[in-house]
Amino acid sequence: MSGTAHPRLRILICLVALALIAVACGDEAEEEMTTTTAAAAEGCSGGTDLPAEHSTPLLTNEYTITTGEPLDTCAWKKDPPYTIAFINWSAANSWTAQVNLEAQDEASRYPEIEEFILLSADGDSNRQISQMEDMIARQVDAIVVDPISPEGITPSVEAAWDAGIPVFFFASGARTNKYVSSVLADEVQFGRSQGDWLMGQLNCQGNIVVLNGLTGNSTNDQRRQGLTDAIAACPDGGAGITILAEADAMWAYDQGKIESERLVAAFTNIDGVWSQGGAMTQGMIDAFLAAGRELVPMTGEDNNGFLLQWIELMPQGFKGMSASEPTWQGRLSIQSALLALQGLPLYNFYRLMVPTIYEDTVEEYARSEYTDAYWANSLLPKEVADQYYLAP
Amino acid sequence: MLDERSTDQGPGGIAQESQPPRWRRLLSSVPSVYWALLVLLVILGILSHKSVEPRALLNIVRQGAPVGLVALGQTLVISTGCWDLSVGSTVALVDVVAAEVIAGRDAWVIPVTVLVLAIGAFIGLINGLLVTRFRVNAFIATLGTNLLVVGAALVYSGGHPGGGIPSSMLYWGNGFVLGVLPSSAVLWLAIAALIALLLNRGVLGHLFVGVGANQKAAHLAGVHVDRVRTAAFIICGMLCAAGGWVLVAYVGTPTLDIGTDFMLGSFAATVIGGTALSGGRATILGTVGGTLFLMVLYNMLTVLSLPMSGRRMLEGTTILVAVALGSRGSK
Repeated sequence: MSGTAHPRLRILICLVALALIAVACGDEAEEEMTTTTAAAAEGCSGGTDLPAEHSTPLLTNEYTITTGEPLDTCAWKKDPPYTIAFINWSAANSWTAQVNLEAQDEASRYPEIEEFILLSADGDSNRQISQMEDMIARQVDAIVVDPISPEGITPSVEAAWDAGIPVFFFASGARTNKYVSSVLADEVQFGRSQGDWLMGQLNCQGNIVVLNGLTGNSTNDQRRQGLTDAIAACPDGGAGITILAEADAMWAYDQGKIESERLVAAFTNIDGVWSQGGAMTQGMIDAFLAAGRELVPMTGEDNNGFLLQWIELMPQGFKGMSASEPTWQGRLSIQSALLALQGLPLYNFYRLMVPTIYEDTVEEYARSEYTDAYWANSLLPKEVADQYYLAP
Repeated sequence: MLDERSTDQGPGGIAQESQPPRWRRLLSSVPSVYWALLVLLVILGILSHKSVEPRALLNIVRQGAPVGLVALGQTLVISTGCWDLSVGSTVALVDVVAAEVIAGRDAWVIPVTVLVLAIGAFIGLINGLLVTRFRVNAFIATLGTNLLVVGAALVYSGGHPGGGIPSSMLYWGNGFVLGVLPSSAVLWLAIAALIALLLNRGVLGHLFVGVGANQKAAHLAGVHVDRVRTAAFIICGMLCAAGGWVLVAYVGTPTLDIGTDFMLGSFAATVIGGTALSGGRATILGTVGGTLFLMVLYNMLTVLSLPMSGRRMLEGTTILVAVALGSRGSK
C-alpha cells in the first residue's frame, strides 16, 4: 500500500473539511444574525412586565379571565408601516361575516397598519394552508388566523415562525408552540353556562334534546363537554336527566329546523332544549310552534334573530338564555399583533369568559331595527352596523 | 320502462310472447326505491310511531322539496350523460339574490321569481356551452362554474346577505295548501309530475335518454346532441333556482352557506331512484322516491340518536346498499 492517500479519499477529506468550514461559518452567520436582531431591537424595552399604559383595554377587560405567560416580544419589533394578514375560516355565515367586519374596523383605527389583508378559507382546510403560504411568500409582518384544522395548519404556522413572521390565533389554535399569542373563548364555559341554566330551569329532572353544530369540531365538543359537566353537577349526579336525542345542525337555521321537526315528531316528552347555536334554537322554536306544542326552556346564542323571537315569546311564558361567542375576538388578536410588532410585552394566551344573556338583560342586547344576522355582543360602531344590518 | 315479457311455444313450435298479469306488470313498473322506502318507513314506525303519523310524514315530504327540485334537474342532466356540480352554488346565489331584491316586499315576489329562474337558466346555459361548444368535460366545467357562482354570491352579498322574505313568499316554504298539504311539497310534486309527463309523453324525454345512451347513434339519427345537452343544463339550472327559491322561503332569511349539501343530495336521490349515472336511463318517479328515501333515512337516524360517527356510517352504508340494489333492479 502506498504512503499517500487514495485520490478518492483525498477528495472525500476535502469535502468533509469544506462542510465543516461551512457549518462553522454558518454558526458565525447565525450568531451574527442574532446579534443583528438584538441590535435592531435597540430601544426595545424588553422584559415581560406589562406596564398598564402598554396594555389595551380589550386585552385587560372584564371578560379576560385568564392569561398565559408574559412574553418578551423584542424579537418581533420592527418599524411601521405594517402589513397584517387576517385569515378567517369562512365568510359564509353571519358570525364569521361579523368577525370580519369587526376586524376590518379594528385595523382601520391604526395608521401603523398600511395594508390589512382579509382572507376567508370557506371552511376548506387546504385553502387556508395555501393562504398561509401565500402570506409567508408575501412576507407580511404578522398573520392573524382562526385555524380550521389545528393539525393541518401546524406546518404552515411553523413555516411562518421560521420565516420571522409572528402568528396570532383566535377562536382556535394549532399543535405547535411556534406562535406568539392566542385568544380563545372558554367554550367549555359556554356550554356549562347554558347547561347550568337549563338544569336550574328543570331542577335537574326531565328529558332534554341536544342540538349540536358539528360533532368532532373542537368548539362543538368543548361546548358539549360543558353540558356534560353541568348535568354531572346536579345534586343526584345527573340521574334525573335523560337526553332523548342529539342532532347536528351546523349552527344553521334550516338544518336546525329540519332536525327539530324530526325530534319534535319523535318525542312528545321534551322538557328542555340545549342548543349551542341561536339559529338552531330558532328552528326548534318554530318546530314546536308548528306542532302546536307548548314551548319549553331553550338555550341559544346572541344572534339577533333568536333574541327578538325570545322577547316576542316571553309574554307566552317562553324561557330562554344566550351564551355569546364574541365576534370581536379577532380585534384582540390584531391588538396583540400590534403590541408584538412594537416590541411591547403581552401574554401568550388570553382566555375569554363567555358573556351570557338572561331574561332580565335580553332587551338590552336585541336590536329590533337590525336583521336576524346581527350578533348582539358586538363592538361595531353604529354607523358600520347600520350599513350592514338595518332591516328592510 | 320496459315491459317484462316471456316467450312460450305456440302451435307449430312458433314462439309466442305471453304477457304477465297486469298487477305484476304494474308492480314491476314501480321503481325499486319505493320498496326500500316502505321498508324504511316500517323501521321508522317501529322506532317511533309518532314519526310516521300523517303530520310527520307530510313534514318529511316538505323537507324533501328543496333538494327534490334540485334532484329533478340533476336527473335530466345525468340522463344526457353529463353531471352538474354547480347545483349547490346556484341554490346559494338564488337565496341571496331573491332576499336582497325582494327586500320584504310582496309586490316583488313574482318579478324576482322570474329573475331567479332566469339566473338559473343562465348558469345552465354557461354549463351547456362549456360542455358542448368548448368540449370541457362536464365534471370539470360544472366544478369551475360552481366556484364562479360561489364567488358571485359572495361578491353580490359582500359576505353579508341582506333583504328579507315577505309573508306571501314564506307561505311557499312553510304554508299549507287546503290547510293540510305542505305548499312546498305540492309545488315540488307538481313540477315533478309535469317533467315526468314531458319526458314520457313528449319527444324531449327520448332525446335526453337517447343522447345519454348513445351519443353517436343519436347524432346519426339526426339529433342535435349539443342542443339537447344544453337544454338539459338550462332546465337543471332553472330547477335549482326553484329549489333555492323554496329554500329561502322556508328559512325566511338569506344565508350564504345554504345549499352546500345539495350537490351530494341531488346525486344520491337520482342514483338511488334508479337513474343511471352513465346516462341513457332516467326515471323522475324514481328520483322523487330517492328524495323521499333520503328524508326518511335522515329522520330515522335522528330518532335513533346514534353518535354522529355511527350515524354517518349507517347513512353511507344504507345509501350504498340502496344504490346497489337500484342498479341491479334496473338491469
